[in-house]
Amino acid sequence: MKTKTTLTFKILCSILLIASLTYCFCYPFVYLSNYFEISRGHSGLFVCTDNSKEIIQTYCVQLIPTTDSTATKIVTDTQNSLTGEKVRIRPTEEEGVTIQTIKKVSDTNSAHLSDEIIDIISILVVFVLIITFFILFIKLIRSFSISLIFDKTNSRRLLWMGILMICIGIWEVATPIYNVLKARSEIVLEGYEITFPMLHFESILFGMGILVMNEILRLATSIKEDQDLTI
Amino acid sequence: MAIVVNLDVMMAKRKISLGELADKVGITQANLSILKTGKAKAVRFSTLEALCEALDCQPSDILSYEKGGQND
Repeated sequence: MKTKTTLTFKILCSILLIASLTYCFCYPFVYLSNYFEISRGHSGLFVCTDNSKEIIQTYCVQLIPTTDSTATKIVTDTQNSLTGEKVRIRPTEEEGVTIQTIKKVSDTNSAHLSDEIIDIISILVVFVLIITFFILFIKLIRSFSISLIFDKTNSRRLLWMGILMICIGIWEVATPIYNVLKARSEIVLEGYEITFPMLHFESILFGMGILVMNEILRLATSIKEDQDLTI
Repeated sequence: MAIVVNLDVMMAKRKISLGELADKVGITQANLSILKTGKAKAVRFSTLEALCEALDCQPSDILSYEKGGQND
């Protein structure tokens, strides 16, 4: 059954609907293009090698000087103590630095390729999750804008939105952790300790918030059903 | 539900139709039908009062309790 809503609520729903439609169509493509641009080394912060026989592996980590704790500047080129390979250190746009190792194609081709495939698959999965989230969000707002609020379908949509947001959040947290663990296993830098950059738990918290909202909507729907069946 | 609505019995006794009773009580036929079929979750005192007045009966004639009835 439809609920009486105010004009302000309807206007707010319409604005949200337009904004989310625009965001839904633009954001995933911006997200994907950003990823591929970074992985190809086109970003101003990453250095790309011209030598086609070399592969650059990039890890986004936090480096802490172990010898001189007061050091403010990090060396830009150093050596991997484990393999003796050249390592480049560059600051990132956010917190932390990127460290890059340069390897011969013949040595690491298959390993590098499998890493790339895993990267692309995980990015595509997250891409699908984001698209699904926005589709559910648009359906929810559309439903709200026609005054269909306390409905079991809306409650189910919110539940899935929460689950999807938590999955995206877990991916956002797991990626840097995997990056650091992989970097630690492959690179040892003299005088530096590789640690975790700032981990972002916002999406997980947001997802949990959505689940709480879903529970509230579910209770409200149940109360509304009781109210509708009160003669 | 353990509470059983005997509205249909009372209506048959008083030989009154659903539409007629709905008009007398001042509720819609759809709502009266929900009440008659036992799908209603609650009954307002005002509705019960109007029903008793229209059917000239007591609340106990319309509602009864059956032990071991299915609870929602």
